[in-house]
Amino acid sequence: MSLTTFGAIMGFAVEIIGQTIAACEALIERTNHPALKEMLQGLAGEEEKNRSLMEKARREHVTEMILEPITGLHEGEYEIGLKDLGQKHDADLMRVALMLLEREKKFFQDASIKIPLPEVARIFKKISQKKEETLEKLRALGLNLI
Amino acid sequence: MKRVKNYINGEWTDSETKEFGEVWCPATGDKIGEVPFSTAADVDRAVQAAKEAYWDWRCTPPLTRARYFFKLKDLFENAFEDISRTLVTEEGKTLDEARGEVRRMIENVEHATGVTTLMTGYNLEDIAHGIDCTAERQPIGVFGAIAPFNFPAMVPWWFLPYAVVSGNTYIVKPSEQVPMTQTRIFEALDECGFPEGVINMVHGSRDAVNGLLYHPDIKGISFVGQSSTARYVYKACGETGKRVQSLGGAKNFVLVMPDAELDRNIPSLITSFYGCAGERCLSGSVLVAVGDVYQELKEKFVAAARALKVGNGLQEGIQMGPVVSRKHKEKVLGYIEKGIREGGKLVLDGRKIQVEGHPNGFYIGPTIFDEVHPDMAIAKEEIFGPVVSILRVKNLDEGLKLIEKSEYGNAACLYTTNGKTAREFKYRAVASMMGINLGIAAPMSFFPFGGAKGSFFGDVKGHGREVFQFFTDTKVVIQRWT
Repeated sequence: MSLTTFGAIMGFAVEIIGQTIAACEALIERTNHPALKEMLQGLAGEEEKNRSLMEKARREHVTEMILEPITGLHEGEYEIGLKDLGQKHDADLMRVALMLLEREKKFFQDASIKIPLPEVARIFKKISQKKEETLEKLRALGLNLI
Repeated sequence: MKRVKNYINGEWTDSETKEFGEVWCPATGDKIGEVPFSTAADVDRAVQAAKEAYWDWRCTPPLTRARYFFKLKDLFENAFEDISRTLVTEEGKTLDEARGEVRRMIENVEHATGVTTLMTGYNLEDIAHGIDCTAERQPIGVFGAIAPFNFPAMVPWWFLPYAVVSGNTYIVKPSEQVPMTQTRIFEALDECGFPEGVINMVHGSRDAVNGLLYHPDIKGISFVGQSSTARYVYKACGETGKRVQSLGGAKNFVLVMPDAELDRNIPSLITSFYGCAGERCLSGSVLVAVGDVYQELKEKFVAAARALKVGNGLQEGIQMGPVVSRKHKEKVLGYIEKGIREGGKLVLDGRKIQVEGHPNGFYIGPTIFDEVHPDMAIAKEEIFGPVVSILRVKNLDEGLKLIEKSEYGNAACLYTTNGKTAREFKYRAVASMMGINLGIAAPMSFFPFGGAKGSFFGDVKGHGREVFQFFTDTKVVIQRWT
């Protein structure tokens, strides 16, 4: 589906953040590695804040005068198969978490160019940058730590 | 089936009426509720409550009155999504449009909290030797609003916060087609703790309207709706000696100059003509191609209109919802038939649109007439639907004459890259809300909202700084103590 409106973009942002939170929570339950657990807890907390930020931005920055159609952003480009998250092995879960973060990084970067409101675009860019930093930290821990 | 109630003296109350109207979901075509057609006696109960509450409220310091609105803003933020969804369900617009509307409603609450500077008067010492003069703004009494269907959340709040924060008490009558949105808003308001009787709501139709217009204890009326009713309201308030601001309909012209940046502005033009399914007094209605921009403009505009996603506004990503009612759909379809009979060339026909899963919804797809003559009904009359007429003129002067000739004067827009052209347009066009490279010239809460000619009857417009004048009397005190 094409994300052709401000609300559709904000709604999709909320949805993918929610998926990242769910994956983080599943990983936190499984891993015994203290550093990873702490990092994931931090990430889950940050994502909760991002979700609230998205909902607030959707509410406060919607500008009725310039609700113009948006083109060139498609939900399908950010699809990840997320079935049976609870049945996966730890290493797979870690890979899923990395994929989710990669997706967020890409989506928020792409959408920041499409959103016609600079104040919302700035929030999107910042989230994308933050995701890059988190990815680097997670990669530094390595997959075999789980 | 929900039957909405009146809100009088801080309580939800049943009307004494035996007559009820039906509330519909335009997206599905299902009946979703009932609205009481309140009587003049119901209105009188609300007026008595408002009158009883007036003096204590009038004596409450303005900053204290403003604090209620600070709290109300928070309550509205908490209910934001719920209000927006209720609005979509009964009015039909898209979720984004509903959120935008609720945002604008809240902006009026925010603006009204500036009462301590916006309501001040002025003074001058020694207007004559040893004599000082003060002009003070005082509240007047009970005011009322009669609201339209197309912006059920926002429009009453163009007036209510300013009236009440100035020390008046208030009665809202929402449109009988969309009573649930304001009911949801009043549920949030009920939690705010305003003194009983300060803010009231009476649902209804003709009897409730006349009950307000002819009640001797109501000091002023704010109305928004079609021009014929706006004129009626204006006359009735004249007869009964009330203050009045009566906002009517529109037929808005959007001029595109040959130097306009078309690719950049097509999305803005589409929003202008098809936003809220064309059911707004600021919608573009006549697209005027100036000079040799015609062919390219037509091709790009038609292609963009054809690509619009029409459907149930509750689904994110839908770009245009249905019109408000079956009756209104028939009216708009009637205009399309008329346009064909008059010789307009239908280049995009929205009459047969099918929306999956909603065969009974009140949908009309984007519709465009080309080769329209200025004397055709579709070029002159308010359609209030997703129907666009394309006209061609040789130059700006011809375009301005079209605007001048129109019986309406609500809004007019121009797309150009030339500052001199833009200045000439805004200087000469006979309309009160002007958009330059913008298709929806919607003044925000801190600027006045209202048109000219047949689009507005009265003096002081909605919101903006001026609205405090409407809701207060200027008392001049001249003193000599020397």
